[in-house]
Amino acid sequence: MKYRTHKLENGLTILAEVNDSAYFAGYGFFVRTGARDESPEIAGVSHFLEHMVFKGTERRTAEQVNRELDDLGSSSNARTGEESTIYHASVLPEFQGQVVDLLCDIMRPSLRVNDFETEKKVIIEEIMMYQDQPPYGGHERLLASYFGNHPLGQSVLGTVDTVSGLSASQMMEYFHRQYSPGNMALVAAGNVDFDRLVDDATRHCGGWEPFEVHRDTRHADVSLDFDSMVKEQSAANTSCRCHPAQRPMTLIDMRCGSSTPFWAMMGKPFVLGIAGFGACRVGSHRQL
Amino acid sequence: MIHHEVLPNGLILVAQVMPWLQSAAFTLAFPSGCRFDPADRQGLSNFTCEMAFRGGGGYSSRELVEELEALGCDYYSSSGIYHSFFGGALPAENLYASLEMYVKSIGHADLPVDQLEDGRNVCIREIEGLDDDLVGRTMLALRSRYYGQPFGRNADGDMLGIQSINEQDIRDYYQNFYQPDGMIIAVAGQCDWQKLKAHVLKLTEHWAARATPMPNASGQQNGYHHIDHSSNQTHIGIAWPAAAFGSDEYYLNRAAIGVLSDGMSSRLFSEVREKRGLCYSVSASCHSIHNRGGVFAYSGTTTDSAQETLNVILAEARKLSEGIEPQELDRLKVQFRSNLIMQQESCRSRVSSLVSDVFYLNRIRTLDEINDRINALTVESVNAFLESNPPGPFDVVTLGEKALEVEREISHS
Repeated sequence: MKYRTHKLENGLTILAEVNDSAYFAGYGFFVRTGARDESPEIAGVSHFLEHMVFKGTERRTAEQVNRELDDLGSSSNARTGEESTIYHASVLPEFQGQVVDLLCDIMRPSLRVNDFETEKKVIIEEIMMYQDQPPYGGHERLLASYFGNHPLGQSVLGTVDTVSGLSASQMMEYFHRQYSPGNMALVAAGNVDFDRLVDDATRHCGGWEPFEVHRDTRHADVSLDFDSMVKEQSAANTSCRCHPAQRPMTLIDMRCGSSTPFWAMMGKPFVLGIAGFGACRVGSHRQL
Repeated sequence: MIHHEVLPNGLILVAQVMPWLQSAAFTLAFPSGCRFDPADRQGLSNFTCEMAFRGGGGYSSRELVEELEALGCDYYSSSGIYHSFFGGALPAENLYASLEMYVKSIGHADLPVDQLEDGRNVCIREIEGLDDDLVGRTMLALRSRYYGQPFGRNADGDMLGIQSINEQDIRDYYQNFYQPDGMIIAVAGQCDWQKLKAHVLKLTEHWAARATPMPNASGQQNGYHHIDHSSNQTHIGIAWPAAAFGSDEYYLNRAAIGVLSDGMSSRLFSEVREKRGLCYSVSASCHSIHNRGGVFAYSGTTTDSAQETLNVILAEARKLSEGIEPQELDRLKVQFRSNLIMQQESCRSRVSSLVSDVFYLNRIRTLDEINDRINALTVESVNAFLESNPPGPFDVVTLGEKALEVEREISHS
């Protein structure tokens, strides 16, 4: 495997892990933006924008974007987190040119108002869906409890109220504040033609105007209090704990397995106790 | 290269040698599963599976897990309708050592009585977890009605069953069903067939075989069933008959359901989510038991949108009988081809397919064979199939705050 990298003049990073013997290749845009870059009144805009990116551009309607992704036989998806938003598609190597064209194009979405209002309904459905599915709410509650008022404690999905109140112009303003080429990377892995990737990216993305992006990176005064969330409809209990010296995700992930260090740390009965995986109680704890 | 051989004790060994990978995956599928759970001990298969992975063959429960992790093995165990699965994926050079550990420990399980209550607690947590999984509850209720007993069961069992199971029940179940006749050991990844075969033969030569006849199925319940539940969303499950996996018409039906639900340009995604914004999740997929098939569709949506969502899904399913378009089939063929090739980079995915092929077809489909079947699909053949097999009759289950209106032909079927 070879690692290749290139930077366009406007700051867009192109990075690839090239494996000539792979059957497939994956391509994706990684954007350094997420819930931590939102102000409270636009909570959820990063994730909503992630949906809207698939809703068409100057060159393509939403229907065309969806159809092309299927025409290429792609396995594609997108996700938004606290710190990043990622769009990716895996295809057979013969479709590299087409999928890169498509991915580059949707990074400059039209954000049409009609599509915005229809998709808002989908986002609200998604929020309602997760509210019915513990322990999803628990994870966000844990981060909020741990990080307090720091931006890292903000919800990725936002709430029904904040999403309902969002306007297309607020989203456009956020887009023009965060999606600078210098704040993005085009990343590929697998059977990738890197030289062609650079050529195509230069052609499709070279004209994107760069601008400065600011991120609030102040130190987080984390909270070590116990917090609980009770859902009366929920049957099972789950405890999630944060260790002040580690990123919370590390330990949250570990609760799902029975790995040796976790056993050694917690003892088996606790592992068994949380293996049922349905949350109604979440908290950070001093003893870990 | 694919290998398939039945060993003298009835154990079926299958392997796909994938020399381009650095990893390997394997599974031991014992011919057990919830189909054999007594009616008053539902969950016995799952409970036994939990206990069988708690040490044996000289390994304690803790040693087993620690050594597997030292080998870099991403391990799992689970119980389904037809099998109890124990498997893992790991660096290829540790395959034989891990297999040996699995065969020795699970094939000679201690079933430690001092861990019986720990095991029971795990099973109880799994059942309680389902109370929080509204999608799972909806689809399990639908499958239970559609397939009947025992093939529509929740493999986790039920609370009464789990609480009734004692040590002897588990020992008897283990004695009866953890045996080689019909058991499948599947391996995919970088491995050597001759070495693998010799290894497995040596490890299992003393296992005694015991036949496990397939139980009979009860009848199904048709029509509409609503489960009252206070939740944000109403969950909708819809089932209708379909060609079973392995039947001549399977690929024709699979293509039709692909047009309905595969991809972001599929009819359901476009009509239900993209055009109307009715939901976040909508899908339909083919499912089979050993002698029957079905299509299972799902969507979850807020109470106010539920009726329209149900109506649109049913309308799109019915509309299939009017036929599919050439562009839809072309698009689907590319997706099928991509998925097939993508599988070649995943030993886990291949192991799962090997077990499924052997169990349902008693042979392994080659990549070329599947490709040929896909290429042979034409708009005419799919449409002729749909004309003579229009989707329906429909069984519907909903879970939420309010029952929905269903047509007379569904509610009275």
